[in-house]
Amino acid sequence: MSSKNLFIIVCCFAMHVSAQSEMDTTALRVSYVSKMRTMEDVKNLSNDEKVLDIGKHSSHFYSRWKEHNNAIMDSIFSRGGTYQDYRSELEKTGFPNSMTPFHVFKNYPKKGLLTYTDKVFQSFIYEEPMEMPDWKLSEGDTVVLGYHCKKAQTTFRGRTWNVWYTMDIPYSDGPWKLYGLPGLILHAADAKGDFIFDCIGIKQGNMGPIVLRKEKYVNCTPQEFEKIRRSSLENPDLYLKKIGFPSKGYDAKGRPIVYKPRIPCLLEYVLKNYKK
Amino acid sequence: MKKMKKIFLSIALLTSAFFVNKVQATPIKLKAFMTFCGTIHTIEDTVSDKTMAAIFDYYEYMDCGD
Repeated sequence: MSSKNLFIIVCCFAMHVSAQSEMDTTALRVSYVSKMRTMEDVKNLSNDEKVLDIGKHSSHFYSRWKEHNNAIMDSIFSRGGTYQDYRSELEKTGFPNSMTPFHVFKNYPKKGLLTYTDKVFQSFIYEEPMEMPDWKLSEGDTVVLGYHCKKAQTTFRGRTWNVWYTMDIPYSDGPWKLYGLPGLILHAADAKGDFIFDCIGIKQGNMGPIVLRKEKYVNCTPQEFEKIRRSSLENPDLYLKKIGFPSKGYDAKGRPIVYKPRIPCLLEYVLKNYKK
Repeated sequence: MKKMKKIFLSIALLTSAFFVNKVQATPIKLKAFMTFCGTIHTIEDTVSDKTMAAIFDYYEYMDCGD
């Protein structure tokens, strides 16, 4: 073996070891039930179970239902299964389909950066600098899951949030992009009643790595993603057709579906003047 | 109503739902699937099963989100 080849192998090994040492593992798993309005004209809030995995230097917030169903999909397709196999397994052992399958990674891939992924048929990904909400600590206290909690409020990217946080769990983290309080957020609700996160369980221990799911992502900016979300709801069939998947839809009575333009109900508003 | 949906889906699937593209005069085979809230969608047969799963998720959100 030439010295050049040996040098390359040593370098690859060093990079591998370095990448391993940077990988964070979950030390605390916080479970929330979430109720979220998906579209402005929808009366009922959509249920889901969210998980916040907190590691030493990063965290990951995601839908437990979606992760479970993804695991079923991966398992079926890796064994050469078909779409029908997937659907049949989903009906037997799957959770309901998550209407809010986004992921929020804080301090990931490195400190000070937030990674966000979401699905509108394709999987989209963007990174942005971490932005800590400007919190106002309020009077009042309560008990959530046996933990003494204090109240705080913030207006963040177009929504006012009221939260309960506990200093008994000294992690400055919370659901979605909320963080920056002197303790873990156990309850968060926006003032309009469109979004609610309620803690239902906390577990300690080593519970796997904090890592981005391996799949094909389309890179975008937060602004571009908001445009995509809005345009897909204006005409779902046209959106798919533009990507190269023309389809036709029929309602339960067999009549062709004519979609009316709908407006998404968003956790954050990053576009100042939205135009089609 | 359920029976009607099943019949419609079966026809779409079993007859392979051929139609003729008038421009290219080439038959296009379609796949059909039903969301959990009962809407039915057809898509070209060339899409992979994994893409079908993604399209199913997409229409579940669009049609059954409320």
